[in-house]
Amino acid sequence: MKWLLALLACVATVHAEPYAHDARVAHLGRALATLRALGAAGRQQLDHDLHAGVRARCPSATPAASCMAEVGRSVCATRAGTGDCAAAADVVLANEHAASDLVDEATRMRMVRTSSDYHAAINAELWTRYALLAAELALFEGGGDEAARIDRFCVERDRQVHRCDPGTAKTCVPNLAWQRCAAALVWFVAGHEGRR
Amino acid sequence: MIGIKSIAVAALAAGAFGLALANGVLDPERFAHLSAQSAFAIGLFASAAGALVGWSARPAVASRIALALHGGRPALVGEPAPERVRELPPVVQRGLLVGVFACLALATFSNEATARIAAVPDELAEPSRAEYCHEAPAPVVAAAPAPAPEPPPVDEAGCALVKRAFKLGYAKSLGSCAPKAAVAPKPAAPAAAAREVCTRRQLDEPFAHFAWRRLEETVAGASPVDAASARVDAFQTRVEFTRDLLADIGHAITGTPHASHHLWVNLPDPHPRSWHSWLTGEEPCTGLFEHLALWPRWTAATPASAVFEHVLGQLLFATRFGTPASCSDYTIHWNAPADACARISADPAAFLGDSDALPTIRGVLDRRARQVAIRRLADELGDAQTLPIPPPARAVVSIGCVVVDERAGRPAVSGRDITLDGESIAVREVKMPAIRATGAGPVDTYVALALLLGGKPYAGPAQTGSERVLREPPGSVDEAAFPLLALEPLVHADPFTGARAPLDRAELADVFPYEQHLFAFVDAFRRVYLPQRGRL
Repeated sequence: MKWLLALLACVATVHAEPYAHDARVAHLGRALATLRALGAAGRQQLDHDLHAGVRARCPSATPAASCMAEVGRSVCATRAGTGDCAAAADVVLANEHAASDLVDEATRMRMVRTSSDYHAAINAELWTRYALLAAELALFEGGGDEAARIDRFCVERDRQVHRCDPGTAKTCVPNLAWQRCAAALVWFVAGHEGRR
Repeated sequence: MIGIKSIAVAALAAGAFGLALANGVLDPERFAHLSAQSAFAIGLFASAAGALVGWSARPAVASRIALALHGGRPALVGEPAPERVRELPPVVQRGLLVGVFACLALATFSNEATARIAAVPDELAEPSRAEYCHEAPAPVVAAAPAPAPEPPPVDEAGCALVKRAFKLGYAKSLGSCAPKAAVAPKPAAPAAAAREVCTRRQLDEPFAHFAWRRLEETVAGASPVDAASARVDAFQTRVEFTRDLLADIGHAITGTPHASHHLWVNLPDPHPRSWHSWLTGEEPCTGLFEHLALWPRWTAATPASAVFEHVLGQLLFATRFGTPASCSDYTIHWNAPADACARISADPAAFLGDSDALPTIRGVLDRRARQVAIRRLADELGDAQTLPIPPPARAVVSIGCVVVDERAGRPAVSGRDITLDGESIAVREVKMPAIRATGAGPVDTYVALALLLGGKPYAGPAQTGSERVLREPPGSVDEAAFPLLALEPLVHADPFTGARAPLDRAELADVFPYEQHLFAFVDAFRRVYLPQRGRL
């Protein structure tokens, strides 16, 4: 009985504090597992559905996070039985919300001019930035499982200054808020394994 | 045995003839085109050189060294009997020597070379361009440009049908489709070259006249009395500024600070002097502020003075935010009385003297005054300035007070000016109710200190109009389902401009995007503060 109470208290705490360490790691772990289970085609489909939903329902150059969350909720409502869809959608939507801050305006303008599919072009550009971030993660000395390492890396990384000169923008990832760093790495780690 | 002289002459002759033949020097065609001057020079050189060498070689006398064969092998024999030495006849030896020098002269004295040698005396007699004024060379008249070819007619769209109708006689004129020639740009007229006035000796000017002219030019406008008087005046001026010059050197040698900024804080020293600091000395400020954490994980037990010192270090000395101030110019006076600034205003010299701040402040003010004097000296002597204009006194010396008093309301800054050694110095004071280490406490400290030092409130990071419109308040997303997305509004919710509620949630301490907001805040602060300060 005592154990049950303790477990309930723990669950209640995690629910009440989604940004406590254990809750963060658990969320990242669920997102990783779901994205891996989806496979390459499933991830692409989820990304496409969410992007199309955001374009249709959040008509703004920088959509509001609240509107994007609504899109995530409605997309996941139609996808019963695909693991923790909300966690995976959270990663995709956080990446989409951060895209315009991670890729400078000049590069985005160039993509608009030269690419027939802007979304695919910016995804490819973001993938190269995520790869740079993943290289930093590979060099990061931290134990634990993947989700825990990603969480710790992203917490520590934003405590250092990462400034990028305009000339090195393509080979440098600036300071990233924890959620942006974590979402980028979860998406890259899950997707990279599928590509190997 | 054969004499060495004969062998040497024969070898020289063979070598010279061989080289001459190989290089075409003895080509008959060459002789046919040889000028009279060259032929004379060759003959003169060959006969003179041959005669000279022949005279000194004494071909009629037998060599003192000879080459002999001993057992089938050649060997040199010294001082042989003269009757046993066989030599070429003297006439042949002389003839061979003349031939050798003739080959040399043939190779050297070509028609062009002889002509140039012959012209040397004339060139030597010509007056030097460095010493004499020469006639300016006649300007080269550029050949008239060839008339430009007729530019091709400019075709205009839609004129093909009109032209065809005109050619067939259906239209009387081409109208607006008549051929138009592009106007060729006119060639620019060559700019007339300014002619320099020549003050050197004229070609027809006698030397005595030239010498007198130079002497006149040298002494014109300068009387010896005036020159001596000017030197005496300059010396007297330098003597008048001797104290300033020596004092400036003294400041440089003794290491007087380049600026002196003082902060009195009514908080205890976070680094009380330990017994070993008496032996090893205090840690230099550069080491203290070298590796400041971006946003330390403080607790409620963290001393307020540690928070204050960290925030001051971030604002002024952390290199991560760009150009920092020099920490050696700043002194923090811990455990100061709450009314420190009031007492400074009442009697500056007395309070600053009691706090050991007066010597450094006076040193900086004196150093500045000496620099001003040295610039005045350069002005009076008419010399070029070697020192930059020193910053105003209030830029190199400042006084601030931080009073933490729980009775105080919102952080408020007050200021006044004091006069010390004839210079006006700014005194600023900030009163704040507390310095909290947790939640949004450090943000309050940053804002209060930036206001004290910079004097201007923070207006937020530079943003485009569209960025400002699209911000959304934090907490607008359901966190349970989308915790990553829910944090996105925090990226643009600047706690330094008021959005501090998220900082009070302890669970957000790890994931709050401090760096972005802190960088913008410190960068904006330094843009305001550093131009107000200077160094000598």
